[in-house]
Amino acid sequence: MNYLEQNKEIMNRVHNYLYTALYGTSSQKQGESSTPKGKGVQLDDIFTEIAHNGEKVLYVRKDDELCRMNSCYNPSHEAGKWAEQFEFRSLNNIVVIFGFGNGIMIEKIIDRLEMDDLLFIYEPNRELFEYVMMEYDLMKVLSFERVLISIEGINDFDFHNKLQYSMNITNMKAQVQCVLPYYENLFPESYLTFWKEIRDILMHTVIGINTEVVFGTRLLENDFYNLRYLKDSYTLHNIAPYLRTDLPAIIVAAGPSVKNNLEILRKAKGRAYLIVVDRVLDYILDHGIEPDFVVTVDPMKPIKYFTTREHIDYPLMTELASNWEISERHTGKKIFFNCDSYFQTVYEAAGVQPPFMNTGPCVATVAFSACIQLGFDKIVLVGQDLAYDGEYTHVGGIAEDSANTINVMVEGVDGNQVPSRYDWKEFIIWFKDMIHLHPKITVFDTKQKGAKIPGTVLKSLNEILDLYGAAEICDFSNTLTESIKAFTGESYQKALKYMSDACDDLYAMKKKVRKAVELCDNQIQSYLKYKEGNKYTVENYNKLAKINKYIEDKKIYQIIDIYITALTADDITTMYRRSDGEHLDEVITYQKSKSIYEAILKGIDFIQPLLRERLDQIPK
Amino acid sequence: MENKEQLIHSMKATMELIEETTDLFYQQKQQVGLQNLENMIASIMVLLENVQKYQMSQHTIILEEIHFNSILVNAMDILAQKDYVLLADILTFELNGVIENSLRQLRVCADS
Repeated sequence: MNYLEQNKEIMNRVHNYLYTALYGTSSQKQGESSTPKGKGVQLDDIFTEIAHNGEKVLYVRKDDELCRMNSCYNPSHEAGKWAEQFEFRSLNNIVVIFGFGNGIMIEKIIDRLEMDDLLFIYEPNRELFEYVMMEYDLMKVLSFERVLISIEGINDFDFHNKLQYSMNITNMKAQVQCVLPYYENLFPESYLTFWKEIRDILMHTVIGINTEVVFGTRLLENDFYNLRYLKDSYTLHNIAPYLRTDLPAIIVAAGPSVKNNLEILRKAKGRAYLIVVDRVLDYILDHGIEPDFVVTVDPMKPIKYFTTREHIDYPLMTELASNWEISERHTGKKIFFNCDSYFQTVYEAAGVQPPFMNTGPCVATVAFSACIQLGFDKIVLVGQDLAYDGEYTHVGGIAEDSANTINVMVEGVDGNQVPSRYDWKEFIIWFKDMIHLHPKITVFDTKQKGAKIPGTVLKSLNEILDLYGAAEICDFSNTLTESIKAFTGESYQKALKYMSDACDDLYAMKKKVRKAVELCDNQIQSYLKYKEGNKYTVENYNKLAKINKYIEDKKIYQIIDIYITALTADDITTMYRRSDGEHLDEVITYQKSKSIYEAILKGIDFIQPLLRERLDQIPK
Repeated sequence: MENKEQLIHSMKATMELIEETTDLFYQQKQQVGLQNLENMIASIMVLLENVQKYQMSQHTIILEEIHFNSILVNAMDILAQKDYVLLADILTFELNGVIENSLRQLRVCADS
């Protein structure tokens, strides 16, 4: 077996995503790539020579300049020294490397990784990677399961997607970034792309965590208050079979360009679905346009950004954690598109499929995700400007205060750079990713100026209606009937019992968590006094492990988790950080664990009476 | 005896400095590496002085200066070409190699 065959066999087994992206299905000829060669950087030559110690040395020629990628004396020695410079200070490091090279440096990094560490490799040149696949033994790297290998132009989206998915509150400060020697100069544009990607993903993670920290207890208050609407509620998958998903779904956001489409939106009523985000609801109603659905998501959105009207009864897509004040102002049918993990178990206990959706960072992305889940294959964006229109940020002549925002320039629909905001840029990236993930859905953008959303088709709303709108006016108002509600009488009773039992679980949990605090104190004293554990250390450790298992097994803990993230975010982000002495590591770990147990106790004290009170108030 | 101890100390110090400097070049930390290089060269000069003293006093050759100097000249050429990894290789496997051999020889002389 030659190197290529061996490497492909391992890649197919361990990294099938890459194998499929590079070589397609088994019906492809051996060695033939499934995807056409992309643009990328063209290399003049790639070859290998032998070092003084017999190992292989990779050479690359680009623009007539020869670059030797390894030591010509001892590549292993050089690779080992190169890898030594990186500090892996946590117990759960995320190592991100720009460049694959011939794999020898990657091997040295792998040697230093421990069992909870993850490795992400971004190789900017497909030709180079394919050469190395043929000429080098990559068994060690390809056999390593905790690595994601991404080749530019082949599966770069995997890098973006999986790195974003892997980053969370416990490891976002544990990232280590490495750049293989010479790669920055050989592939400067890709190098910039790589760093922008890292930065964007980090920002995305920080925003997500900050949301939980900022909203913290408000999320729980909303969850419990909104339980009163559960009995008569709907979910997206309940209603999906009853919608005309062959028609376009027009999402109306609050960008300044909405004003240019008012006339056509009126004509669209009954010929396509009008799904309006909360921020633009009053504006649309003021202009005599009635939506088929309204969407809200924000847990603390001021009521004025929903409506100033006394009653709104258009079907509302919302989630359990959305602002309870909006739920109260809304008097119509509620469709829950999402709920926290604990409430998903409530649905499951009742034998009802729980609502779950990737919501994205704003209400317009929520509407978009909802349309995908409902099964629409033509989604139309109206008012999704994502750029300033002069000083204006929203339709109706609204210029939001930009003192606390970070302004950026992005590509406009006309190819020029347009002024935007960092959070809008985050939305652009989100839309781009979703369009990439759903290639069978056509997404139209109707604006004539504003930020370009990659993957959308620019078309006027008028044209879209002519091409795809219903020939005759339809009445969508009677879709949500009694018979398609999420809960039946029987399933609702099961849900109620499940939540009532959770209150009892919280009593029992409180006792165990108090015990856990005592055990932590015991160990902290021992390590501080004697710089080591005591005769009870192992026993206490086992007791704590049992208590942790008990807590994790209780579904209601998922609610407490939301509460404690807000209180203990700092502790959690540094919990896995190593210190300079083993006994110090132990002390710090027990101290942080104690903080978290104490936060759990506070969480129980907050949640238990609130849950009991709300359960007493909801319809039986 | 004093000369010998001084020489051994000088050799070890130089080898350490060479390793420190070459590590920096292998890690692509050229600027810091170049700063370290100055100290390393100074240490080599001191080493050569001590070698000469020892060789004169003991009437023995423990380090072939011509060979040593030619490695140094080669290293400086490579430095001028800004091939820092090759420079690190030459310093590690050739220059340090020579010093290590001399150190071994010196210890054997001491024992016999």
